Amino acid sequence: MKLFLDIIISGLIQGAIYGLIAVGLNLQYGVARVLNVAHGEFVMVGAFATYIMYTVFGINPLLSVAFFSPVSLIAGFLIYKNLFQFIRTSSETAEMFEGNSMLASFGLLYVIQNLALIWWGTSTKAYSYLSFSVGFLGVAFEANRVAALFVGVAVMISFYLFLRYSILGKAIRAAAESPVSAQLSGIDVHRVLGICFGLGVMLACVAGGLVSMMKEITANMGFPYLVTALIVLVLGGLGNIVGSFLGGLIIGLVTAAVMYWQPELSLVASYLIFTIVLLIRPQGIFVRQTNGR
Amino acid sequence: MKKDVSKGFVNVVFIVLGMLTFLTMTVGPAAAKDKIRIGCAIALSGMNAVPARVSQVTEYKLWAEQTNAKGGVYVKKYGKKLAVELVFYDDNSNIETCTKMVEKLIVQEKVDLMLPPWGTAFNFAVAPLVSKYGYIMIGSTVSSAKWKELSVKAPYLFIILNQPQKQGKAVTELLQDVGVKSVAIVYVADLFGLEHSGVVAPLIGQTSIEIAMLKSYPLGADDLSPLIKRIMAKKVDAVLAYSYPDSTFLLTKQMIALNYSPNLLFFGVGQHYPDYRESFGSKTVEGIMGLGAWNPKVPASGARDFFNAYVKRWGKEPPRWGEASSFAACQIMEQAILKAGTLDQKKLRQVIASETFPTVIGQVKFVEGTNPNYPGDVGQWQSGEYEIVAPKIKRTAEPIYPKPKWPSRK
Repeated sequence: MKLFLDIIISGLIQGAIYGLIAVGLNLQYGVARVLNVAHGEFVMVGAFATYIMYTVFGINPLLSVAFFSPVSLIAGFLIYKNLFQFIRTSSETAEMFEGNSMLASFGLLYVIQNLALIWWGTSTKAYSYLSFSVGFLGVAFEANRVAALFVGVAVMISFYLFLRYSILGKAIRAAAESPVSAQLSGIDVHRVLGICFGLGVMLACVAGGLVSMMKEITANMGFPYLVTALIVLVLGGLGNIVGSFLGGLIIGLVTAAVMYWQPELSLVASYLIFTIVLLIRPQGIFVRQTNGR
Repeated sequence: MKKDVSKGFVNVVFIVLGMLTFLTMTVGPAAAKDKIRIGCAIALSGMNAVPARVSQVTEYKLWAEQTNAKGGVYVKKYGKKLAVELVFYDDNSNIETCTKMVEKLIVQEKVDLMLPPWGTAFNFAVAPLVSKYGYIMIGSTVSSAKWKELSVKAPYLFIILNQPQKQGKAVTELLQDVGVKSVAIVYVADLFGLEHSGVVAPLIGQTSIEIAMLKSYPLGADDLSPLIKRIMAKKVDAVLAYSYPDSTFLLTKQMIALNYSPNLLFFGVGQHYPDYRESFGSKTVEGIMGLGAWNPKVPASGARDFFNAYVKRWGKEPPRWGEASSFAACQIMEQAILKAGTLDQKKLRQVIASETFPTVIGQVKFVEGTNPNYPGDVGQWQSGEYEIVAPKIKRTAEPIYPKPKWPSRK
């Protein structure tokens, strides 16, 4: 029972982080149609910002995460408006836009990573926050990871309610299903897609802030999170926001379970799920067969 | 008629000028050689950019700046000192790109010397290539038991870093020396982890020390607490983790949070960074051991000067293992040029293969292409310095055992 609980909680903690990052990527690719390969770099930016706020100014990492959320949302929105919207309007077809925007995001990846290398240098850093264990039904968990789980789940529930009930959330869902119809209904699609991109950046930065409490920080830490987010994206289904978060939790749980019995195979398990889903259900396991809603 | 004569004179002048220009172009560069161009295809971006910059680029730049500040390297063939110029190509952390870049540096850039890429796999990939073109290369981030097999195909590659067999022996002797009874060995599932654990486990197996656990974990793991909890259940004296910097930091963080402090805690790479000490604090890392070691106290000419120059130039302390050997590799090339009096690679190879070189890591004399005399095989943080604790004869301090428990936290 203790082992089962340990695996479930550990898996959920890691899964919540993966879920946040994947939901962000899904908003960017599933809705705004930008396969943003620089997504992981925003995780790194979020981690750096939180680290600096904590070590230099002594600001609580969770407060930093809350503070940087709107900042990163605006930054993402501006990136979309100044880079990807230009590419969208100058691309003749949707396919051409996808290709060009992906290439542009590669450029963004190298710009952000190299700026980080120049500014941050080659340092590998970590800090201690809530660095003690808390017991739950006789099992010990790291307090900072438990805090990250609560924040991750809270962010996702808020985000779900926002998408479900707010006007802007409905506009995002409309733009995800059919940008043309959304535009005909009077929705400013460019603005909505810009907000989606910004929200994606925001979620990556939030995840980065949470990751910084748990792991080391380096200028090249972002890319592996992009890879995991892509796996989760396939698992949850393109455009399916809830599916992405649930996909993240599944990957987290499977990784945690395999890590207990065969640690060396935990990465293999993620890729195995990815391959199986691609083979038998390429639209994602949480997407209904009808028309991808 | 007069007009024709002047026209002919003008033609002669042009021909002479043309010939002079041609002669300048063909003979000029050799006669007017004013710098030694040194090529290096290395990860300036991508996954390997951080360790490549930490362990090689930083040291190469420091050496080049110091060398140029004293006027360059004297080359007898040219009868003067030549400045050094580093030509870096970014391999994007891609092994295929790296081999292409190395070839480009040699064939198109026609560099005079080559410096190696970062990491064992990359060095192994380019070793046959540089040997084909007859360029010497001194690898400072190469550690592999497979080296002997490759050395036949790559006679121009020299390895200056300490190697798994020797380090495995030093680790085993240290465990016996401090009185460890049982050990858990975990390792990152790649060539580095497999080779080091593959060497050390059989050696420990020959002693009375019990190996209670031998497990690998994947590269880039985000949560190693399940592994730590399994180790905790084994109640071992010592934990040997053949880890990379990411998992070294992660294991440390998670062990602290779970309040697990074995009597001996040993990591692979990353624990020797001053960043590691600063991230966790001197008191927390007190007693933590790791693979490979160097510090400014080693009996080597210029070790302290290198340490001070590094701090002055980069505003932080140098890491305490192979980084010094990257600087030493440049010192060896410099001394070899002085001794050979030429940039001819065959002659340089002959000198490097046969002579002894005083460097910041001590006297280096290559034996079958490797350096058997590295200053430290195991280091341990003690009062803020990464002391050498194995092999016994090279200790800069006695090992602390058991490791102090983690300091209390709020």
